[in-house]
Amino acid sequence: MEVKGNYSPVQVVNFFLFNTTWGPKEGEEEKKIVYFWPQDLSVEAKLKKVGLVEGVVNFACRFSNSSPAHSLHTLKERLVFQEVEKDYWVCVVVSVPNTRKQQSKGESGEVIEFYPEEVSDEVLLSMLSRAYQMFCLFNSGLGAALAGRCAGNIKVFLELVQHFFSRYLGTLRVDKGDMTYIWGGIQYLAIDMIDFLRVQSVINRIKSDHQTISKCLFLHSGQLVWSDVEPNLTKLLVQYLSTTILASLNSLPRKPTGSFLVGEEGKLPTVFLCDTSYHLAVYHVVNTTLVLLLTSPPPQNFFTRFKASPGQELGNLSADLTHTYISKGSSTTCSSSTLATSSSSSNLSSAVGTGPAMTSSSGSGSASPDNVMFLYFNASNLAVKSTVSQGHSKAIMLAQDFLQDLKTAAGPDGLLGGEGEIVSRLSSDEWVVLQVAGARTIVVLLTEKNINLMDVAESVNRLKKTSFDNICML
Amino acid sequence: MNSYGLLELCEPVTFEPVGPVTAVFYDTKNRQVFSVRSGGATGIVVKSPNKQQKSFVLEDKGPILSIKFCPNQQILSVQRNPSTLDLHNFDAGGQIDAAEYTLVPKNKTSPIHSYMWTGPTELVTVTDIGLDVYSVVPGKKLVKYLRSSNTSVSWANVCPDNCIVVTSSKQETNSLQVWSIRNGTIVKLPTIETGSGHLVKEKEVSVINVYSRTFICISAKSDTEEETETVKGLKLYSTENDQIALAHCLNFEHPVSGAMGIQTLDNLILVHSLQASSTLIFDIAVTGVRNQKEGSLYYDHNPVLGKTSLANFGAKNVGAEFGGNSVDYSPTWVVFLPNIIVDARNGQLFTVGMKLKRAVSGNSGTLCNFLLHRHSGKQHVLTHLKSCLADPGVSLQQFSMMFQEIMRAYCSHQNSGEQTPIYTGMVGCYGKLETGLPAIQCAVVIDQSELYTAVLVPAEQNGVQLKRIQAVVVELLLALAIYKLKPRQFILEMFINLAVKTEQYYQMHQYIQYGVVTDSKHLACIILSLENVYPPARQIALDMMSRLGDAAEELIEVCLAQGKVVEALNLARETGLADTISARKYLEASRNLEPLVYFNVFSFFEERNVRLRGTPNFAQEDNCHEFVNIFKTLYLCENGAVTIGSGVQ
Repeated sequence: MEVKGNYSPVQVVNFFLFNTTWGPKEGEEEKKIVYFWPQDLSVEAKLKKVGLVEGVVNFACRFSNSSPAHSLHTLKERLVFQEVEKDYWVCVVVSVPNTRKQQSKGESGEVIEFYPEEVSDEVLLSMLSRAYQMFCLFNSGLGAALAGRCAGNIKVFLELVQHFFSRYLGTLRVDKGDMTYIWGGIQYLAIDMIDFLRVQSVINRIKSDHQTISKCLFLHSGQLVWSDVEPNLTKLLVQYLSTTILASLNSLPRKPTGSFLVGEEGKLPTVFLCDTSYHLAVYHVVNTTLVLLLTSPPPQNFFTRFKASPGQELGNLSADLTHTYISKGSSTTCSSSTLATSSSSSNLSSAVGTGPAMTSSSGSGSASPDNVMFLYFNASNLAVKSTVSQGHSKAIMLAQDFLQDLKTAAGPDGLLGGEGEIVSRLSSDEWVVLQVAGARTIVVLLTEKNINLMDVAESVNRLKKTSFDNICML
Repeated sequence: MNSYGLLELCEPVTFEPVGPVTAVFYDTKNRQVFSVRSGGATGIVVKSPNKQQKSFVLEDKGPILSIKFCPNQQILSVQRNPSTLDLHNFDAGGQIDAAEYTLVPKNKTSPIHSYMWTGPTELVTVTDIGLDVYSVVPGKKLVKYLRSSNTSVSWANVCPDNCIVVTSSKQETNSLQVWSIRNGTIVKLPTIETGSGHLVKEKEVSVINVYSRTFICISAKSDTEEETETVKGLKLYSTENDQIALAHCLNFEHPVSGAMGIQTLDNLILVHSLQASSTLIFDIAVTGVRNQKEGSLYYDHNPVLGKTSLANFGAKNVGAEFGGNSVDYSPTWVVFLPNIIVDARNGQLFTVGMKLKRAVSGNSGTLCNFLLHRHSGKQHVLTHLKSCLADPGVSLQQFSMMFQEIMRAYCSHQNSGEQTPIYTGMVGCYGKLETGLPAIQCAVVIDQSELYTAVLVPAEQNGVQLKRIQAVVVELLLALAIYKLKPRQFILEMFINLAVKTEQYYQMHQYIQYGVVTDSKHLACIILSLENVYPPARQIALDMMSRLGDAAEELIEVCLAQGKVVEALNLARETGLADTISARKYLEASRNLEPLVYFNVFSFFEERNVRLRGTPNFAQEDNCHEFVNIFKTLYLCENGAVTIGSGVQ
């Protein structure tokens, strides 16, 4: 892949949200807009985009009722939209990546070459729905927020939406989006059973000592160890933590004693999980982050009490976990370098998050050579694992297409369940192997030159023996 | 909290009390009380708890100083004057031989302070100038002098149970000599130096036995001048390996003044204060804080349970609050080791007994530990745990400690007392038991099955919050893991069921993911049955089956049920079942699948037929005509050639 100085990657051009039923009269169309980025765009320009979406949707619905249109491809831009709630549409416009090239053969001027295959509708769609889910996490829902929190006051509602999305957009990285974003997987920290039980025991004690604490999430180095919350909501909470809360942690002075990253100063934010609202507090000590969901606002002395009673134990536990699992993995000691979700896991080959042998293979990490990489996802617990280094986005993009193909081949009734295996060789001499079984997907990339199909099958088998021996890909 | 009724006076034995013509003696070795009337002329009655009394007559040869039987009751020794010991034989029928013979000390001028039987025919005397060992030959009615050790004795404390003698050369001393008599020889152990400021009198020394160890027990007096006669604690010197070392300090909450009696009962040390009518209970295996003084390492102990008093359930006036009477400790009591109280003035002998069910403590962990060390404690430990589970006041931390203690007891029992290797992967391991006590093997060993049936199952039936039971099971699993014990299947099954009942499927998934639930075919099947309520359960169960390695047949069934016939065949081939599986079953499963799949499955069996029988045709007993016909209609042209493409046209 030629990455040149004049390559411009995919970028968000517009992000907007509108309600088709608002401002139905001529001249009042502006009222439809709930949120628009960038804000300083002229009203006409904003309405043009909104109108375009409405027009495309109306036009396309004549052809298919069951699967409405969701994207519009143009040479320079890609428009993706989704009706997230009845009459509420969330849309994003991104620029198609391109390279400016000097015109050859003496002609003056430049040609711009576009790479539409580097933009994926699925990724953009999942970004839209993720943004919406995140909004729901903190505000229950668009309609619900308008009716509930804003008491029907549209002005307050618009402010609320703007407050949320303007901050959320800051965390959105369209250029980093690939199939892993669609999955939105969770990195589980591979720890031994006994340490898991210790974590479990601490959480139980916290819950029994502080009756207001209803649910907990336990993360270590940004990787999940335990969650009381359903996977889909866990995923959102983990994303919120890693993009918003922990991202700023590196700049903070590291303290041996724990502190509340969220909650201690002022009001606790409210989160909505399955129609129940909770007060959110986030406690951080050493490398451990504990998300606490409280059923009622905490009593006055809660924070000082918490820091004293489980706080100390948590500190010790966190130090132990860091010592055992984090420091050993990488030579860079327990700096919180692995906090961001995008960074690959520190203990590479250790496992996929299933079964007792989870960490057993971590010692044999060197067994899988560098030219065999894998990407693993389990949809049933959203576990994700990746050993793919940077610079293979094309192959990953291709794997995503294959995945889509398997789904399409399964047909609408999903006779084959979208399962199967696809092996392919790229023009760059890389091999991509995609295996889907049940809820699990494994993508294997082989970068060794001059190998044939037999070698590939053998390498994949070897990889499965070392890294996936504790799961059943049937 | 007062464990009132824990200790009680039981097995009362009445005897003729001390009177103008009656003298009373008690022998600790045989636990016998002697009522001697008129120097024996009008009868001697011997009584003992739980034994038939015996009586006999002796010629009155003057007042008796001491009287006791040898261990097998065949020789009676009577001391009438300080320097001789008269012996009488008893025949097998218990009849006394009136003709006596006499032990005359080697040094006739030195009086016998005390003596004890150290064997059926061996006795040791302590005189002013030393210890002498004699052998009695009852058949010949003579006594042989064996050997002696010279030392100057002002007073001596003999302990016939373990043949230990403590002697002092002065009335008040700070140096005690310890002797041990073994197989007729006298072993001189090191002396106990109590320090220059601490003078010891005879009544302040006793020799006790707990946890199969012998300790010399010395009262520690209060430091303050005005309270010199009060006792603030006891110092226990161990005699292990013939070395003397300070091992334990028992500290009284409040100094005890007046008469004090020390007893042992089921490895507990009881300290009775006759003046205050109260008893302190110590257990050197349960409490204890490491301490160091002058280079020696010892443990400080506080009473294991709260101060209590002896109860007398046998007395009249029953009907007090606890169904027993509180007892005013009588000044006429004489307290004997190990657990006998004799009231010679009133003619009563009691055994101090224990009712474990009345033991209470503010600390459930201590109580559990206390019960674990009692001989009949098992049922009480289980009852205690059950009530802890029902009491929300008992924290999970305490459960953690109790379970770890139970597992420690279990392991040390399994490894016959050796130190158990425990999980030490953690630096600042949290929740790990930190007693620092020398490991003393528990009397009670509790198996996982007992915990399950007597604690966990009843808790669920009695409506204890499921979340609490779940949290307690986690503590149990953690304790098991720390002691590297495998959790039994029924506990894991209960753990899964608890998650199902509280609809924590994803949480259950995490438990399995992290290996808390160990693999087994049985559990895999249970998990598989949850597929309807939690679809990923199928995946978990299949993973488990494939990890087990011996569940191929189950895996194949699951695949077939799901229409994955090719995968099922592959599995069968990998596990060596390919030659035995039923062709009919696989063809049946694939008949409604894609024609190509049917083709592949059919060809697989044709190839098998060739390999096994040399022909592609199915055998009669395979019962496959129907499937052969389906194959024919799908793939065979009229000329008999196979057309593979037709299926996917």
